Amino acid sequence: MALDITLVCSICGMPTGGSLADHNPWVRDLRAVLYGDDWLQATISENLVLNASEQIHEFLLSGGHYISGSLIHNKCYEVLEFACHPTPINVQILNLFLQSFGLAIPNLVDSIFITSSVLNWGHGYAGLYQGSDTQFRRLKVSHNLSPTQIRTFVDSPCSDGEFESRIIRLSAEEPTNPRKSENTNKYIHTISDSREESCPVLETLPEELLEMILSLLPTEDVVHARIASRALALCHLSQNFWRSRFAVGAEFGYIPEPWLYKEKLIQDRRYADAQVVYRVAKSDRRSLSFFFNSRRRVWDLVQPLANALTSFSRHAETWGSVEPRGHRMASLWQPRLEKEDKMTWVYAHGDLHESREEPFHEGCRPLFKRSISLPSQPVAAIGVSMLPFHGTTYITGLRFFFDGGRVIPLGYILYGREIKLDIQERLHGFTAYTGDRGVHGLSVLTNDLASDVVGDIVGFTQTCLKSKKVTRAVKACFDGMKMVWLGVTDDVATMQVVASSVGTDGKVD
Amino acid sequence: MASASTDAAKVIKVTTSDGIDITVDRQVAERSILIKNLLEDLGGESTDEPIPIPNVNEAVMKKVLEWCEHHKADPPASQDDDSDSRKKSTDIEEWDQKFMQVDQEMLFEIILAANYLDIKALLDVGCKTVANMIKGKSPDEIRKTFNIQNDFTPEEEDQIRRENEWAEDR
Repeated sequence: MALDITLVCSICGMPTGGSLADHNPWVRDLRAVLYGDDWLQATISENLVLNASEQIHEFLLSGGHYISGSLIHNKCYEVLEFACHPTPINVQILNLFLQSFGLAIPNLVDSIFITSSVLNWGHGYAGLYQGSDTQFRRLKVSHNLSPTQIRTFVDSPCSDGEFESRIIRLSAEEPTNPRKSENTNKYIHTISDSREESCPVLETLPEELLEMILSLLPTEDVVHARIASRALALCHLSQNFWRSRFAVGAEFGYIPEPWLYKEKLIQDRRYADAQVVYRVAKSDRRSLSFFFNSRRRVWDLVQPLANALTSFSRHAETWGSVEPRGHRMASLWQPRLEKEDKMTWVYAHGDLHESREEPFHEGCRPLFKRSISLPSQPVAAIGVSMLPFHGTTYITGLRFFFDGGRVIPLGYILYGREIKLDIQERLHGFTAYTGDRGVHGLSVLTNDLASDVVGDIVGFTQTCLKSKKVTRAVKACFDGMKMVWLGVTDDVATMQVVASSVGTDGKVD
Repeated sequence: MASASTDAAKVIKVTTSDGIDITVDRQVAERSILIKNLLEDLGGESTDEPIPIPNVNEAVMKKVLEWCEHHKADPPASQDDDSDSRKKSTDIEEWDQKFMQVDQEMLFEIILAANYLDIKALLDVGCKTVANMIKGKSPDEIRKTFNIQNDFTPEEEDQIRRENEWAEDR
C-alpha cells in the first residue's frame, strides 16, 4: 500500500487544511485529481469537505488502492473552469500536466502555513514562494510577507457573498438615486444632437457599431472618445458594453461572472446586470474586505494553464487521444510498446528522471516515446507547436509538411499555436535549446542554413543535432505537456527497423 | 473531374449599388451570411440572375470580396458568439492590418458593408482598426484623427465628464 498525495493546492500553492482552515474553511473544500495503476486513467473526485488534510489519507486509503494524485481547492478549480469556459476541463490532460512538473520541498520550518511539498510549475505562485533563479528551479517560501499579501493568500478566490450583497444593495438604491440612473445616458441625451449632414464618417456609423467600437476600448479611452465626439457621447451603452468590461484581458477580466451568467454557466441572478456589477467592482477594488486580490492572483495563475488545457483538448479531439502523435515506442510508463531501436541518434534533452519512483523533484520525465521516419523528398515546411507557459515557452510538437499534401505529426499539435517554417529542402537536423524541464526552443537545419529560431532560447543550453547526410528519422520523448528529448538520425544501415514500424502512422493526415 | 454544370454552380453574380455585375466564387461570396441565406432561399439551384446588393458600391464590394477570397478557408464563425466576444482583444493579424490600410472613408464603408452583408469577422477587424486609432489618445487627438469639430459648449463638456464619472478610479 502506498500513497502519494500533495497536500498543497496545485493551483494556488496554499495548504488544503491544517490550522489555516480554522478561520478559512474554504481551504478544506477540495477536489482531488487521482489515478491508480493505470496512470492514463485519471478521475476527479466530487467535493471533499474534510476537517483536516490528515484525514485525506484515511479517506483515500479506504478504497484500498494504490493512489497518487493532486489536491486542488474547490474554489481554485472553479476559477480554472471559468477560465477554460466554454471548453470543459479534460481531467486526463490536467493530470498529465500535473505529472509533468516536479514537487518542490520548500523551507517548511520557516513557513507560517506551508506544511508540505508543492508542485513546481516554474513560477512562485505570485509571490508566495521565491525561486532560486529565474527558472524557479527550487522554491522557498517567501520571507517578510506584508499583511496585505498574507491576506491575499488566505482569502478565497471566490466571493463569500459580500460582493453579491453589495450588488443587491446598489440595485435597490438605483431608482432613488438620480446621479446613478439606470442609464448613464439619461442626462447626456439632453445634449442637442447638432450633427450636420456632412459630418465626419466616424460619426455617421449606426449606434450599434459605435457601441461595438467602444466595447473594444479600455475604459479610459472610452471616456476620451465620448468627450471627443458628440455621436459617441450620445451612444447608448447597453449590457453588451458593460459585459465587455469583464472580457478576458479587459479591466475586470478576472471576474467573468457577468459573462458566465449570460452563458447560463452560473445561475446567480445578481450577476445579470453587468453595469451594476461594474459599479460595485469599481468601488470595491481597493477594499481589502473583498476577494479581489485573491481572485486576481489565482486568475493570473490559472490563465496559462487554462490556455494550455484548451489547446491540448483540441489536440485530443482532433486525434482521438490525449497522447502525443508518432510511432509509439516503449518508455518506463508505457513498457508494453515496441522496444528501443538499434540506431545511433544525435540528441538533446532536459534533466530526465527515468524512474517510476514518485515523486520527482526537479527536471522532467520521459513519459512517452515517439518516432517518425521521413520520406526521401524535401520537407516543404515544418510547423512547430509552441506553448507559452509562465514566462517561458515549451516546444510541444512538430508537423512535417510535404508537397502533395502529406503531413507527418510528432508530439502534441497545438492548432493556433503553431509557427510554420518554410524549408523546401531535405532536413539535416535541428538546433535545440533545452533547460531542466525540456525543450524550450529550436531552429531547423538544412544543408547549409538554419531557419529562424522558434521559442525561448535565452539561458538555455544550445545543442546542434546535425545528421551526417540527411535526417531520415526523428525521435522525441514527451511528458504530459512538452517535448523533453529530441533526436535525429541518418543511420540508414538500420533504417529498416524504424521504416517498417512507422509505416501506418507515418501517413497520418 | 467536375462537370461543366457543377463548375457553373460554383460561381455567382452580384450587382452592386452602381449597377455593376461582379462574378465571384460561390464559396467566397458565402462568407457573407446575407448572400449565403439568399442563395439557400433560392433552393441551391444555380441561377444566372445576379443578386442585387443595393447598399454597396463596386469599389467597396471588390475590396470586401478581396477579404473574403483571402479568408475563404477560415473555419465558419462560431454560432456561440458570446464565447468569442469574451476573449476580446484588439490584435489584428498581419494580412488584415495591411488590408485595412485604406483612407478613412473606405474604412467606414467596409465596416458598413460588412455589417450589411453580415460578415462578422470582417466587421470585427474593421471595428478593431477604429478602436486602435482611438486607443491611448487624448480627446483632442481623437478629434484630430477623425476630423471631428469640437462643437460642445463648456457646459455640455462638463456634463459629459460628470456623466462619465463611473469610469474613474476612486
